[in-house]
Amino acid sequence: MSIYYQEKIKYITEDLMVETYDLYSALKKLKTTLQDENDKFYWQDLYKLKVHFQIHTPDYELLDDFYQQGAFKSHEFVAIVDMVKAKIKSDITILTNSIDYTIAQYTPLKNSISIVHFESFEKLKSRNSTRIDNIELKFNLNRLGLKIVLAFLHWWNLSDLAFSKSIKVKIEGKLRGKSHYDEIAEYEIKKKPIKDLSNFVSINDLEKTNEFLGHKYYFELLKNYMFPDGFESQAEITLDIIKDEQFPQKRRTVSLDGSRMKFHQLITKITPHKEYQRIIKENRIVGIYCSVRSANDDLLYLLIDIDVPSIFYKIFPTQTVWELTLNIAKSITRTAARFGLPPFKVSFSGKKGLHLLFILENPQVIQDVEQFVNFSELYRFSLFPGMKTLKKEKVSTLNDKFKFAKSLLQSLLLYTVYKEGIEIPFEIRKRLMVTHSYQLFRLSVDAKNKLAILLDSSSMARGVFRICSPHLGSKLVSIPISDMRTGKICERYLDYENVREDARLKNVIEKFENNDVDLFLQKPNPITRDHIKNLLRPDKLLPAFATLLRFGTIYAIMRSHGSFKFWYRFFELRCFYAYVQDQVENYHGQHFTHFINFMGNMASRLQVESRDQIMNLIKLHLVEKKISYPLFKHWLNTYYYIEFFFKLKNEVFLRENEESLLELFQNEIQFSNFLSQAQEIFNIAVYTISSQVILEHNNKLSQEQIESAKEFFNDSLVLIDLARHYLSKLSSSSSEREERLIRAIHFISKLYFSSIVFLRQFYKLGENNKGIEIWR
Amino acid sequence: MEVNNIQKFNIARKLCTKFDGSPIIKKLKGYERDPSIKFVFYTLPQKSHFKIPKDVRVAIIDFEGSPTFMCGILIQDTILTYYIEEYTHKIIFYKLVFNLLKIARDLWFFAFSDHERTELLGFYHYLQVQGEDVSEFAFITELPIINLQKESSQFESLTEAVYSIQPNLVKLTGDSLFRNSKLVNKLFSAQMYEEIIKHNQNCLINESLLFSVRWYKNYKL
Repeated sequence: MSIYYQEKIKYITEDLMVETYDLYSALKKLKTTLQDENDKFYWQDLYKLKVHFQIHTPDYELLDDFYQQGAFKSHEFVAIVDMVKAKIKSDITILTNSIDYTIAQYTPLKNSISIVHFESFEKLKSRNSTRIDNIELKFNLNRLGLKIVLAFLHWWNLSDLAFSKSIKVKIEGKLRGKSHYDEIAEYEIKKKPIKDLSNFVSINDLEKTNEFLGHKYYFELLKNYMFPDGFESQAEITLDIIKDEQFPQKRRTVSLDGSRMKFHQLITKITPHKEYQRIIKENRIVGIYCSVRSANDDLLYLLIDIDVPSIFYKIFPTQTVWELTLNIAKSITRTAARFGLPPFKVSFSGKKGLHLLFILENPQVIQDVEQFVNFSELYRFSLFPGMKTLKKEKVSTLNDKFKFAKSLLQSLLLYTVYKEGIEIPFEIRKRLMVTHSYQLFRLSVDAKNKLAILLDSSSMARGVFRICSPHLGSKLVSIPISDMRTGKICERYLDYENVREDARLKNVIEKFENNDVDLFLQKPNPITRDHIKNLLRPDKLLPAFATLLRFGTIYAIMRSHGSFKFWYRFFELRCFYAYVQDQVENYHGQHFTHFINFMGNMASRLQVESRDQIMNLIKLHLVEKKISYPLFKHWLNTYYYIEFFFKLKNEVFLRENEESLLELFQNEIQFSNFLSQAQEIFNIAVYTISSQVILEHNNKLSQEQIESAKEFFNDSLVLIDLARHYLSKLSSSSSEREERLIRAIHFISKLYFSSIVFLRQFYKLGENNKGIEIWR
Repeated sequence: MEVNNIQKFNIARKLCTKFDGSPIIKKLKGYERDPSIKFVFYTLPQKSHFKIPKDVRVAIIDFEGSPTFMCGILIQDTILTYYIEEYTHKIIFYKLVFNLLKIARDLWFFAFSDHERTELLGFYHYLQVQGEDVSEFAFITELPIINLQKESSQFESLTEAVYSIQPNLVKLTGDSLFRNSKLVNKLFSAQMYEEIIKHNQNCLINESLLFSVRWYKNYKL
């Protein structure tokens, strides 16, 4: 199917969705039954609840009816049926898997909820086959409140089920003291017009939305966002357009006197207010979204969307959830300030979340004209994991400015969650038994944890944010809640009720009428190129950025606290050493004192153990010119590995069993790691001999140290000789090649262990883990 | 011939010996060519920081196209570009490249990536299969062509490398094709040789800078 055809079918299917199943009423009835103290099935008398959904798909009769009415053509029929079937199948499967996964993430849910899904097909005479999905959820009510149970059931309110033939829900419960399930209720869910099911923005609201969106102040703030200073082209705009009886639809084009044109091409800085009002009114526009990208393909905005799942509002008190939401925004702002960024402009999303916004100073801040993002920091010293794959990908963090901006913001969020910390209200922590904030967050829409709060950095090419217009579901306006003069969230908006009150359409219009528009017209803070360059430093955001690339968006935030700590430190050290090497390589005689102080301070901030040695090394190369650059590089590398093996990965010195090497050899990647590890460990041993025994011969070495050095010296001489012997004969005869290679590897592995034993004995490692201190 | 790390250190030691490249440049410019071979040369401005110092025994080589139809060589301050306009003249072009390299054998050849080295071996075997006498070009199989890419990253692109040595580069590296080498073949089909020549010259001067600022520093003990 061509992309055009697929898009067309999607639009037709959207238009067909005028009715959907009213699961909400059934759950309301169930809630009433379970909360009735006089009912046999009062929830506190139950200890188990079983809910069975049976969904038949698709509804051929419904599609036939639409066809008869001329909603689509005969050749589109099969494509629509296929799309509907595939969509429902994937929606149900994804939801079942996500619920199953989510349950496993939280101890209180793990042993109290289970989900089973099985599918079958029914073939009736003269009809196509129907798919039947059976989903069974079991709840242990002893451990769960009713709120959680209902919240889990509300997830099944899937919009695409509108094309299912029938939905049946059967509820059974086990009363305390009984061993069998009794039927509580069975509902055949009925379809209702969408407009009756949810209170979305409809034709009845048109008068108010016209008044609001057509207001002179709204036009002014729209122009502020559409035509940002420093950019030549305007932001792309998406609109919510109202249609009879249907949920409003997102479109970019508008009609004007018979011709159609993109809204952002039609509206300019000089468009008269009256013409603008006419476009809003005639096209029934009820919402306006600004894209993070301009019509000229420039990146305009950096946007973070905090999206709290509605289940939180169903389980916890509204104000508690709002406090958590604000805490997240405050933590992100704190992290940003730590890295030298100005405060975000924070806006209420209109329903449950927040939008945090920056604007770029000009198009040159982030560019990717020559197929690479224009920050030398990305290529000079960071040694990112997976560079090879990143370069191969058509759109990646390295070659696409939108993806780069998204990754940069995601690493800011990753840092906030793990290092800055987010204060989670006691009630939420206790109820979900959350010990660390990472358990409550996700960075990707595709992550399976449905309960986790989505920290979405939508700075992708398709990222949009609502410009102060009404949310379609709640009808609340996305009002700004932070004051850019103080950089803080307004006191009044610490209370969720005040936000809801002020975000009502009529109240916002009233503010406009009273000229109380200061907050609305404030512009987001600009981000300069220096801001971003500053972020890409080892003591700033670079280690989090590398961790994000190492594990990917979904899995980076699923690391345990210990695992994240290890990887963060690993990238901190790796980036720092590479940064020093790069700075020295590109040093062109600028103020040396300033340079060395800057490096020294960075090393202190990062708690680099070999700080003084590194500073001496820099002086030796740049000032005294006693060593060449390749030698400088080699020594610096050795310092890195000393820090890596003695501090970060010192368990290598505790490994006794040589047979465990066989495990390494089974895997090619691990084997190549082993070879480089063996080389570095051997380098450290040689370095130890040269620095501690030969150069510092005045040092008083203990008898044990002398013995260990002698033993290593003898071992290494023989082993190197043997390894070299077998390696040099490798090309002589292909039949013996394999055997010779195995022997060479055997002697290299012996050398590896000999080096470890020497270092362990020389520095008395294993007794305490203070290798670095002894080494220094 | 592929050059390993230890050989690179040795080469870095040998590069700066008393040497005058102008006779070689003169010979290359005046080399008698078949009419099917087009030739242009460009001399870098006096104060250009892209040119290779006079006493350094180095040439940078860069091929364009797949199959190759253009060869650019930078020696000191001169860029010599040879190309064909039709692939039917491939054999003559390959032989010309070999002859040019023979003239300039006293120089150490550098390229960005291993492409040029493997292409030269490809030319050699291609000529052999076509029944051409290649005995006088046997040196090609042993000719060392040193890769300027970062040793830790064999996938380094020229853009990355240029960014890495020019940290304050904000806009462009100056390439007429925006570093999209896939365009080269399309431009060749459309006979827009000027653009390809400019691209080739830009690659060579950036590679020359990479040699002076990065490679030499990393291998001179």
